[in-house]
Amino acid sequence: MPHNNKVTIVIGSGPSGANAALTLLEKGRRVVLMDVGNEEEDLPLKENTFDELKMLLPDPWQYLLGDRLQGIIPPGSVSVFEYPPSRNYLVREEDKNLSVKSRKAFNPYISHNRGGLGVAWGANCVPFDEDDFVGMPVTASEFRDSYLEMGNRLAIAGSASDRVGTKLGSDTALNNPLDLNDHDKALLDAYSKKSKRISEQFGITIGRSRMAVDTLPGSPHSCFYCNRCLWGCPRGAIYDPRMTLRQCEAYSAFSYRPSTYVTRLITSRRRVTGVEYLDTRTREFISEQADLVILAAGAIGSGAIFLRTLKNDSELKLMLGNGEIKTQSLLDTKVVKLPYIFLRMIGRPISAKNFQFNKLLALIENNDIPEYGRLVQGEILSLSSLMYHPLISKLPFGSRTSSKLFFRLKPSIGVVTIFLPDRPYLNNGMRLVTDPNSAGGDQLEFCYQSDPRKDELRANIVSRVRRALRSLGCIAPRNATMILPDGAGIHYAGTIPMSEEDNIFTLDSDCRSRAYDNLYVVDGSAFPRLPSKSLTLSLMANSVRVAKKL
Amino acid sequence: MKIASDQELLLLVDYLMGNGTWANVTSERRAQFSKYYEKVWMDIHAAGSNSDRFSSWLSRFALRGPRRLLLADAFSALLNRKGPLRQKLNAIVALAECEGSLYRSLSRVPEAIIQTWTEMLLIFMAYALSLLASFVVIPPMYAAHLLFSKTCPKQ
Repeated sequence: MPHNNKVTIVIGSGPSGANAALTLLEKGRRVVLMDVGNEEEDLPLKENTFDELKMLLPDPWQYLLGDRLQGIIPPGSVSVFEYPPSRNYLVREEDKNLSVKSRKAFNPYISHNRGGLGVAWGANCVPFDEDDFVGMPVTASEFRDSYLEMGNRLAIAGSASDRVGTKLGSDTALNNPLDLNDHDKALLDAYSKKSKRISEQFGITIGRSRMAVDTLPGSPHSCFYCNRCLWGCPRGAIYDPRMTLRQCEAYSAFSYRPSTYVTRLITSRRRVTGVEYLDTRTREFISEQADLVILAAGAIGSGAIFLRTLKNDSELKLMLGNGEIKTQSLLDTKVVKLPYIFLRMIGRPISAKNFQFNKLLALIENNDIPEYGRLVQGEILSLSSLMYHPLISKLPFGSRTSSKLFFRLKPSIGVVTIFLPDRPYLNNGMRLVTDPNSAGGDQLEFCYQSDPRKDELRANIVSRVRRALRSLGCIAPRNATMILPDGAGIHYAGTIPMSEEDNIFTLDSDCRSRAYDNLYVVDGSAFPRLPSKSLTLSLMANSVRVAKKL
Repeated sequence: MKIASDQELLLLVDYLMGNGTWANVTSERRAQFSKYYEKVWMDIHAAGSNSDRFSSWLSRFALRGPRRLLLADAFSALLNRKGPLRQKLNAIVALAECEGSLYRSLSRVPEAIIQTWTEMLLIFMAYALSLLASFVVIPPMYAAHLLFSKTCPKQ
């Protein structure tokens, strides 16, 4: 294919950056992808299950808890789950290149690895519908083709015919849904017997999850239920952006530039002329020319680059006068976890071969607080392979009693994880404050307050889910409910949103910056509202939609 | 130099997972487990300067034998949740769940459902009794300790 000589620089290799790059390459563009690009270590014993690792690894403690035993969560800690130490760098809280002033209001996860946070995503793959696009300057129909395109790029497992499938609809082809374990089967069975009542009384529909997982029989990447999803899928059954990067690498017009931490864009007369980056190996700052730039470093990373660019742009600073340089907003899905005990499953055997992420999905209607959309999503997960000591230490008994009880109850324990939608609220956003010790010369400061209406929505949803679980034969103890701190949802969005509001902090409906003509933003930053559904599929679809127009 | 004693490890592992568990682990795995427990032990004792006198005493009291450990485990779960004893027990569970044979011992459950329910009932009753006994034994023992020891060095 003949190459257009103009170079497009894509910043970030996460789900949106990788898919934007591939779309541009398919159109014959030359693409340079800049990325910090920390590499994941090769996964051990790829054909074995999680339980087998404990027997076969020469040093299972080093792998499961880390060489400094950082995976041990002490008693009394709020946390019940930490990312496995072997994958911890994916979502490290602190980074020497990007410093965060205070994590009190908002505690974000930041990733500088190859594939971004997309390497550790939960694989839920539900497209936004008309209702989800309310308040955005784009419609569901404008996304349709790119969702179809993403359906071709990913293998999506799910059911179009169960109650959830019917409610969600589907344009994309779906592969066989994931196999259910005995807990999930029994729960779905209990639900089918009472579905009418649960739907009418609580507005809840339960069915199979829609996941970006290869379940095709005969495929070399097909999921073999090793229970290691959280520890890195050894088969490559769960989609991750590195697969798309490998496709990009097949194009001669593609150049992957690791070890580049982009600090800001170089601008002149409302156009981006280049990119300034820190070479993380030599710690030297380097500039490179650019014809077109696509920001895809994640809502927080892209937000930081954008703010730093504005701060250094004397022309725009003059225009802003005393106006504050701050992102338009900051969004994240608030997470609530509702652990439950499914009485029927106590003492039942449970197979070591399982899929660790949620295989069931609950769609919870929201008719009371319309500004937060029509549906709230809950992921239903039965406990299969985690590190259990934090849960054991939370039980109100001695360690011996707690561990004995825990393993007798384990087949019956599940968690409903509810993701609450978000919308711009008050002064929520992020800005930069000076910090001469950091690579960019500044720190990120977050301002985030929770909307009381969202708290009302949370109380309403949690109460209905708890009652629905009770009618299915489950106990969801009230004091076991966990409300995660702001920033723990890892669905960051809204920092440089598409908007009809004409100001330099926003994008038009094609994700073109209103500050710079040749700058596009295609990651979560571009979404002005955050539905409850996982954002990843939609931000990939958006990056394809935007890249196709360039 | 070895700091945490093998006896302490044997006591804690067998208490949590049943008598004879530690002996059934291969010597290579035992050595690895000991190395990691040593690290935990040092971390807990390095932070020990922050723990109060009672927490340190309770930990020492517990590690003198299985009966004392049973009482102190029940007592500390209620009234000393962040103390060094709880941290050690938590670390043993965490380390045990990483190793194949120890995990099997830790997670062993009966096959019959009715047996599971019966066992759970017995576990609850045994716990209630040990908790009750701990309230009878531990406060007077600590009072006696305070009375008879002029100095009580911190661990």
